Amino acid sequence: MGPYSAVIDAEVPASWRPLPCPFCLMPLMGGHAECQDCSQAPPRRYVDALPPPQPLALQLLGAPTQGKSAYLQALLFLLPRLTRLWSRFAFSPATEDTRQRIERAIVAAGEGRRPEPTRSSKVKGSTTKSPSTPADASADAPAPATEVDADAPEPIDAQPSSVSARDFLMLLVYGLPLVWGTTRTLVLHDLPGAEFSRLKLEPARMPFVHRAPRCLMFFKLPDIEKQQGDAPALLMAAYVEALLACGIQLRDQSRQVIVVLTHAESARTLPASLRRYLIRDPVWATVATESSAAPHSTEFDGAHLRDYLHDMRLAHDHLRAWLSGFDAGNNFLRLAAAYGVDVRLSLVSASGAAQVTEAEFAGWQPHRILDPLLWALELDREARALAGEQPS
Amino acid sequence: MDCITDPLGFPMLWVDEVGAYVHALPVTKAQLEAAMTRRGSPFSKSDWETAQEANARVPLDALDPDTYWSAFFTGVIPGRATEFARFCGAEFRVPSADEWRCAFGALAIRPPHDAWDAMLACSSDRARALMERLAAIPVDAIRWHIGEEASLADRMFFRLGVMEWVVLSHSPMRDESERFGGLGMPAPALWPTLFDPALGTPLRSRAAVTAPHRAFGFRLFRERDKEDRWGRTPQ
Repeated sequence: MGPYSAVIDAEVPASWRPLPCPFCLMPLMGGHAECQDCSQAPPRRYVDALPPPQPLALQLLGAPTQGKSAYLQALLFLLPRLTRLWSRFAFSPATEDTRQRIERAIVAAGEGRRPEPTRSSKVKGSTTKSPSTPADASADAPAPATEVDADAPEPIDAQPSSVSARDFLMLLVYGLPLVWGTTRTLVLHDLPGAEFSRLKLEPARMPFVHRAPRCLMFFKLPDIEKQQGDAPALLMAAYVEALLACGIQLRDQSRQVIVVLTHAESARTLPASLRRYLIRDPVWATVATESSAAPHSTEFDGAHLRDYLHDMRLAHDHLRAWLSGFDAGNNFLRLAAAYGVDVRLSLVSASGAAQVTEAEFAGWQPHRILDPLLWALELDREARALAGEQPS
Repeated sequence: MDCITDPLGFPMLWVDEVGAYVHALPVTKAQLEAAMTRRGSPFSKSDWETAQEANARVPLDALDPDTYWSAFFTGVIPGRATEFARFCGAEFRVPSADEWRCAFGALAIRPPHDAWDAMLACSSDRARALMERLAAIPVDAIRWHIGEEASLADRMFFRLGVMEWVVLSHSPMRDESERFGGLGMPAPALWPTLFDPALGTPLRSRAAVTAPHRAFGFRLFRERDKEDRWGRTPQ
């Protein structure tokens, strides 16, 4: 079954299918000016790209202070350096918001500043569909800043509104290894942690929850270690509840949750094998060199990539065994198994060091930041292979 | 093995690859105490109190795998580290980042035992007592923490020691945080990090150059005495 089989018939060859809307994953019909389902205007760079870049759509789920924003900051900080990893790699922000977020992330991580928490982009006094116009969503148009009341507390009991283009981080990525499809559109839907603190997910606000086959769930590893509460299992239950509310039957449509365990540097009881896995990160080792002009001594492809993915799977197995030693971890894993949700575990450190004070040190050193995305690409590849699709 | 001691009796090992003697350990509180008692020392009780606040002293016989880092002199700003080097002598210096990395790389592939024994042999009684107390700790700590066998660099606490100040630039036109950086992997109790000393750029910290940071310490490198015109080095 194809990854977007909920909305697109997998029997139809990929090249014949209508391009999915990057905001809601419904097929874009009758020209690409505006999605008929969510009324968003897909960015021109997305619809005009050749070949059509299949979106890798991921909903980010995580309560406040679980490391979601820090992860994104580290990922965007690392992004330009990935050109040192693959000789053909290039990226382009598909929206102006994304471009600005990349700029801010590079500066903030370079100066050692912690990220600002994700702000709500709900439109003041409106619960209607997003006001975005084609011009807003185009890559060249500046984002309207006045519509957002970033400092106002989020009214949790507000009526669910539809999605806003500003909550999406959208990147066209070129030159990936062929197995994942060399050109992809990475779409991450990021909402403020407060949206998850009530532990009731609103599918109208989170279209990828029910329409994309996988999502990222963020948990702070030291909290699990300290046996503080049962937040992981509660979020899993909320996720499954949201799926059921949308009529998704987990028996028929598999769902995969990629768990991102953050603040790994501060974990006190992590086994040596996992700490070594974190420290010996070949991606960081490759991109940590000062010069971007360094030759590509080892292309992160072929055997190197196979070794990396093999280690990533081993780390998942070790993490599963280690997490089972904590009540919260055990409950989460068993609950996922009971619901039939496939869980993959990853371990990341956004800055490479525990940060006690603001700007304690300059120059973040992100470790294993790509793992959650590599899991998503791998699971996507497996799903496409099962559907008989060839990578393009 | 070519070993000497600093003026306070703590051993230094010759590292050919760097062309310098390298302190066997990051500078310890025992060295600070010894320096404070010397006539004309620039170090006083306030330095001691700062070090205590950053990382409280533990008696020698209580140093164990859970407290060993308290033997190190941390909470040091770069200005005090260079002052300490000046106090030790004109040949002493805070190393550059390249020198530090070069020493780490060279010592990381050396077997630990012979050089350690040579350094013990040339140490003062006080230094020897401390080194004997600390000797076994990194072997177990590295195995437990990272699952690797300890090298000579590990026994010298290049990893799981302190964040060590290194010189990035000598230009007086630059800000202190651009002239000094940190290298090493500090003990997790001082500062949990995933830093690999062999990788990345040295850590720059505006906070740690102006106010004591509990993880930041240093070790000194020393040039070999100049040969006289007959090729002899002074003893």
